[in-house]
Amino acid sequence: MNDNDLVRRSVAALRARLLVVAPSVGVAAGRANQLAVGPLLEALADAVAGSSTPSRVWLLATAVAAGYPTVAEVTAVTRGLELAAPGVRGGAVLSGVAVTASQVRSSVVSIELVSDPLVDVDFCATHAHNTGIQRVVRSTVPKWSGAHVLAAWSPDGTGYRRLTPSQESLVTAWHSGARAEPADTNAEPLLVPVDGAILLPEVPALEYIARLASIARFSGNRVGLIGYDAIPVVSADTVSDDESDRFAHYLEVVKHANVVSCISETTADEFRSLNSSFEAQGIRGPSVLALPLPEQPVGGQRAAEHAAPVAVPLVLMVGSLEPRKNQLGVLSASRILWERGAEFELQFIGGGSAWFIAQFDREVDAVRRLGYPVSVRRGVSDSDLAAAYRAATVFVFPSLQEGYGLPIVEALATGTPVITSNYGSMAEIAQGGGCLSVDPRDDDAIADAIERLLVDPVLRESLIAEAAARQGLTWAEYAGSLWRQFMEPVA
Amino acid sequence: MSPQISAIPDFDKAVDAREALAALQSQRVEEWVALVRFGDVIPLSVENSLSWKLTRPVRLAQTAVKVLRRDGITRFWATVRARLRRLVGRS
Repeated sequence: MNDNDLVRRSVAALRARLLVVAPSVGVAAGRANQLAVGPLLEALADAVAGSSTPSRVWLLATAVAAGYPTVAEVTAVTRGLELAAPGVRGGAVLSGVAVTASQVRSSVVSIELVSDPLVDVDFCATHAHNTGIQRVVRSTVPKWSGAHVLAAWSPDGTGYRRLTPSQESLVTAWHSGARAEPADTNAEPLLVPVDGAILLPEVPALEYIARLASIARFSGNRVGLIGYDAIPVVSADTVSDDESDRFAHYLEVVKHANVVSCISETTADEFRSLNSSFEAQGIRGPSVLALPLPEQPVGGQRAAEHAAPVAVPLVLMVGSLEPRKNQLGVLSASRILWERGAEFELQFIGGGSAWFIAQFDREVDAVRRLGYPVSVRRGVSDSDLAAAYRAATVFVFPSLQEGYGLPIVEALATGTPVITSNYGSMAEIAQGGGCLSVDPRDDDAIADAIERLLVDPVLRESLIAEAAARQGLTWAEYAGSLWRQFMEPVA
Repeated sequence: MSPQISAIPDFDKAVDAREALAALQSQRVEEWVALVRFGDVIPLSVENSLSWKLTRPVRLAQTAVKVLRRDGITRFWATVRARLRRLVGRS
């Protein structure tokens, strides 16, 4: 196929996209169908210029570009339409969205208008990774009974596409050992939300944020997201520069969203304080609600019985390896105890970034060379993780900061007593019972708490009883409440 | 065409002008599609973006020096590996 043929097909595809959106921007389908592509674009541009509605500008810009325009592009089109005379307004739209149009890889993209909520599960659909946020998404989204469409970004990054069967399986039927398969969906229909909603249960990648911010600001669709934490900006020293950069830009979506459902009261307080900073920009910010995560053991089934006591007690810590989680504090506290003569095995489960794994492994090796029993496991399956929770005498999680602390409730749901931090979301969880709270920056305090649980069976049994009496949500209940928070009108 | 309408002197010219305008409008769309699809002309904003990309190696070198000084060689290589992985994932 030569360039002329491709242009002809591209123009035909553009006309077809304009016909799809014509009724939504105020041009009757009957009239639109009679027009060639140039006059059709002019008719739509005139209709949009006459209404001055941001959602119509966004929709027309999306149809012309075959991808979601950025905030700068929608603003350029809006200003261009205001200044251009009737009959030449189409040029304002064309020049305004040229950048996004040039980034669309396929020449023949069609569009599909979607009024059901679009659920962005891009990361879960394209990665097999399954910690924190992915566990929440994969445990929640498949349980939503309301009509919705799962979506992932096209590889060219210009818009949402329906999931391929393999992507859908990775979201709704993930299992240990699952693999992500690359999918070229550039030529699939672009999903265009109209009078609907965009739900963001994940934190989007940096490259999609400019387009999402534009959707949140202009498209007229309701935007709901899960607020996991504000750690990348309030504790930038504990994450990579890339993470902080991403979150800072993500706030552009947050401030124009309708609802943020936070995974703990602590995180809700953080997002409410962000709202205060948005007020300085004349923006009200989203409605911030709290919905603590469920308390379910890994695999979903509560253990009928905790594992029988073992000769050498197991002290377990689960969580990705990063300085914020404070594995080094636990290692130091354990060394204090071993030097006091305590007998127990320490086990860490969790992967992490290469640079910290190298540092952490060196520290662990140094302790091992002293003859102390410490092990590190990575790439552990869900069934092995569940077994580890059951086998543990004590679960320790003295993280320096968390949005919630999922491993804490997974341990409690398994019937294992927990030592965790005495502030923030972790203290919030501890209030429900089954936990000892400590200052995570005090290694001696961590050591004392572990020792108490190792030598005081009465205390341990009382914490186990408290853990069993906790009344947490199930994933199904959480999913239902989250859907209602996203979809019900905000007061 | 009815005699009354044909009696209006410029009617046919007006029709011709509308058709010519419509043809020009469609031609402009075709030219725009050719530009954005095949890049015969780079839009100004893309040109700006390209000029930013040309300065990127300098910015990358500055970032590398900053990371090396602040975090040491281990984290530096970890950062390089992470960015290369991301680059490969995007291609």
